[in-house]
Amino acid sequence: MKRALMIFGATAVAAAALTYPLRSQAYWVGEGFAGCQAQYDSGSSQAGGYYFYQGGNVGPRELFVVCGIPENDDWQKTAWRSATLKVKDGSVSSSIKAQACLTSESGSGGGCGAIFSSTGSKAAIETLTIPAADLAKFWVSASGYASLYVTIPPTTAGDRRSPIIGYYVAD
Amino acid sequence: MASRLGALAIGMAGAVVGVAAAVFVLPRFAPRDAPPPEARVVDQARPGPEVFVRDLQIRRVGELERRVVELERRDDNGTAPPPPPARTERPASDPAAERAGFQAALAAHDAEPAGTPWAKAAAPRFEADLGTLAAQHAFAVDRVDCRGATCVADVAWTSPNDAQDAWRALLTYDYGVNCARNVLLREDVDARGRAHADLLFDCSSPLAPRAN
Repeated sequence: MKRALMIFGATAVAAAALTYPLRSQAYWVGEGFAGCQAQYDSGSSQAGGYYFYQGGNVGPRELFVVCGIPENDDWQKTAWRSATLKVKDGSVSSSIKAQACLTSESGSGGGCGAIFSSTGSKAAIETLTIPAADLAKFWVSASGYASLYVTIPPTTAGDRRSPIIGYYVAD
Repeated sequence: MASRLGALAIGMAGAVVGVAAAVFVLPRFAPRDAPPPEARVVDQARPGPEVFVRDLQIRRVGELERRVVELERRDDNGTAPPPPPARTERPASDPAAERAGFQAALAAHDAEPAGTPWAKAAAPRFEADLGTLAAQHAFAVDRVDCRGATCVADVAWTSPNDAQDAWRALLTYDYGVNCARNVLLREDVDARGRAHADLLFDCSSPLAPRAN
């Protein structure tokens, strides 16, 4: 009996020790810009083969970018604590703005948190972190599909681009 | 021989318990203050080796979990049962509950005190912004009601299709009072055939700037 208990305990501890470190790794999910679509305020779309940006020879138009946020059984939005966006403000006329949004399960409504704005640091990469309190908590507790909305205003210097670098969600 | 088989069985049972504890119990006691993810997001465009290692580990854990579940389901003869039916719905997929939750939020707004200083300051600013937005997206603003820390607007389009096309614009507008915003289309049209939506601004979060 004693030997059986020792075998049982040893294998249980060993299995837990081997499994737990693997399981506890996934505390954030990041995305490049591949999960995004972009559209100018004129209604035309920007091809997203490489990256989304404002500036260059694109023209003085406001650019809207919407990015899907992945979710699965082990990574549900009820556990998210923040959404973070990395952008570069090359030379835009005002702040780059970001919101975390949810579309309802029925598709006939949704919600967004308050808008977060860049500080206009120009050349530096800026980090916009949206805390979970400013995700649309009403929809988070129910269901729906999450996304990140980014607005990049018109550029003031045509040869300096303002791209979206990427984004991630952390729990 | 029998004792060896017994020890093997005990060992397997211990492994199953250990894996189950690691998957379902230990994460509950894990510290929530994980290190900031910036240190690991080196280059989003070109994932480093740590990304591939992480993906490999996730796949291994998934395979391990599948095998544990299979072992637990085996009967005394060691034969595996038929696989469970494929899932076709996400968890928490309940549009009716969403609508009920939204109605509860509107009722909570109605229960807030009217005429507060914040409400008096916020209402005209929301009215002005919604007036600008209404001109761009062809809707009417029938009512704006601000109370303790929330405002509700009743907006109407001439048809349900127009409403379906335009409700998202209500969420992404850069309002002067920067709060969380929620919208839900009503299911029925009014006597004039107009489609309505209730727009709820929730300014109760301390992180959302307030109007005064």
